[in-house]
Amino acid sequence: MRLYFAFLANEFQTNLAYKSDVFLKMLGRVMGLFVQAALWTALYHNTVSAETNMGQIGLNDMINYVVLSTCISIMVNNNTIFQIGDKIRSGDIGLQLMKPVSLQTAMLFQAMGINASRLVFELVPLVAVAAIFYPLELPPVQVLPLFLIALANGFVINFLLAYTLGLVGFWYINIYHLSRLLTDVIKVFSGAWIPLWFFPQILTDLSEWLPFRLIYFSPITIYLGKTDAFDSLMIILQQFMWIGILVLVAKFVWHRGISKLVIQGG
Amino acid sequence: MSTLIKVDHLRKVFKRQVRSEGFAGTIKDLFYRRYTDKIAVNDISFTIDRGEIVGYIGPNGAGKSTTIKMLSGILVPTEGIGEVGGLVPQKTRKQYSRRIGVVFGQRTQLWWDIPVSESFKLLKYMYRVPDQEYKRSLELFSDVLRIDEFISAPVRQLSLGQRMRADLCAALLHNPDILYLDEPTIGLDVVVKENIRDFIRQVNQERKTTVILTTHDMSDIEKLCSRVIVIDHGKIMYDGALGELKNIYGTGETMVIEAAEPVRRDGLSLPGIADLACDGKTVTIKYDKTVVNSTAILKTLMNKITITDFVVHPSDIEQIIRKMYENPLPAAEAAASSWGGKIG
Repeated sequence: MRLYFAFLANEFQTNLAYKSDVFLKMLGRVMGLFVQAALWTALYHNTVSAETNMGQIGLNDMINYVVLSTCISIMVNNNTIFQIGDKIRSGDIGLQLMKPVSLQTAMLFQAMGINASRLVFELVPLVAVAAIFYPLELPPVQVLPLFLIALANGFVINFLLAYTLGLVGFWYINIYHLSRLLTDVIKVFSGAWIPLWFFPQILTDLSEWLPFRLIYFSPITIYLGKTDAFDSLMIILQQFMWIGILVLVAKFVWHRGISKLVIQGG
Repeated sequence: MSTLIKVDHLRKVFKRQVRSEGFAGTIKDLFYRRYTDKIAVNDISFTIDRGEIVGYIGPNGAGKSTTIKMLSGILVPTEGIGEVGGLVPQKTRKQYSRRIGVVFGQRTQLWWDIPVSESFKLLKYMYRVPDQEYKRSLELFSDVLRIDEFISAPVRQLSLGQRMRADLCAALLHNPDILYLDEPTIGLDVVVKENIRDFIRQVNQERKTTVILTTHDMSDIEKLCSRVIVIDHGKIMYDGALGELKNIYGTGETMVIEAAEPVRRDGLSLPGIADLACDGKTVTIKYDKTVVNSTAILKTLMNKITITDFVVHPSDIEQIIRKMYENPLPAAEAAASSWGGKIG
């Protein structure tokens, strides 16, 4: 276990190696929040609330949504897909295989290391700024644990998706396109940019069958109190189900990839 | 001494895509791919004893790295077995990985942006190195390689020589039975090279670490290895003592002479030399030292021209291998006599 925390700590330090990098990212997050908030304010323009397939959604809800979505993106995003893609392309994956350590677990803890550093240097400043301009109400105490569990699960789901796609690099060297695809699909179907409230029925139905909404949309709705306790638990249950499925898929892809590597060479 | 590594009729065949030429060919390849077999390692056998330092040499693309990769468990042989300490590397990769250390001259296993010491700490946990042993290792590394001078600097700020030394330490922290070194001195200056060789020798003697070394640098081999295996086109060309190899094939030398005045080719006649070239004041002479020695050549030349400087280069690996092709018979004989017919 100490080993994996060392992975976490090293990645934490790596992420803070370049000072200006840290500050620019911090600034970027705050800017992004203002832009999105301004966008929704303009869209609502004098309208108090909009009728959606999930009830009345007011501008205030939307601002809260944007703040939460930005916070979540800090905590769930990862570079895993590029880290793995690079390892495969450069052949460093071979060095990795000569170590008595599981790549998947090591990568998970590295992603956690990055996120821990973001938590301190991006989330905290963001929350401070948001508290001044767009104050966010804390949810009822009994909702908070559910939200945190859903958030952590969302992180794991996002990690597993990136990890598995990264492994596709064994067959398809130019991982950039896949990464782009994953980012865009997640942006649309997770509700990271536009809440699923505003989706036409067909897209809402489709997203029900996909794991992406469980990364952003579902945790946010739990936080905002748009789902009751039972629905919240159902969401968490679905998350665990998806984690199970994705772990199996990742295992399968990993074994196929490794057997290709050891037969064909890097 | 006991046998540690046993390689038995090892063979590795890669499939390589054949690419057609031109635009039309590229389009065609998208839909219909043709493959050819490339034999990287072709039926090689050898054994290595515990505590040996073996030089594994050959030109680029000879199959050196492929062999090392099969022995380190990241490539599966097409045929044959490589067995290390009773384990088949590919089948027991995690267990096996605790017993080997690997250094690739062209890659690093250290974390790029953080201090070297942090990478070491991670490796300490990874291999579950006890505190005391870890401390003792670090002391040894500091004594010989002076890593204490840069252990708190991030890897990206290190010079190539420092990085190489740090990588070598990283591979040895868990005290492996076997150390695979793939061109460990590539691109380093003479002082660092010497330093690294001393260190490898010391580790080999103190810890009885078996070392397999691939290199293009003949002096690496001369300073470290008692035994060499020469491979080319996937076949073992020679397996035996280094002295023997040099006696049979390394007898060619090149002498470069600087004269006081420009030299004309036709004014010189030297018996027994293989080749002579003049370029202004520089004369390059190739000869076989079993036929004529350097002093005899110099003596003859001094009667004709004024020599201001001269250098004698012994033959390098490429030359030795070229000679093997010209005259392959003695190699087999030499190997058979000195190693009891271990050639496969």
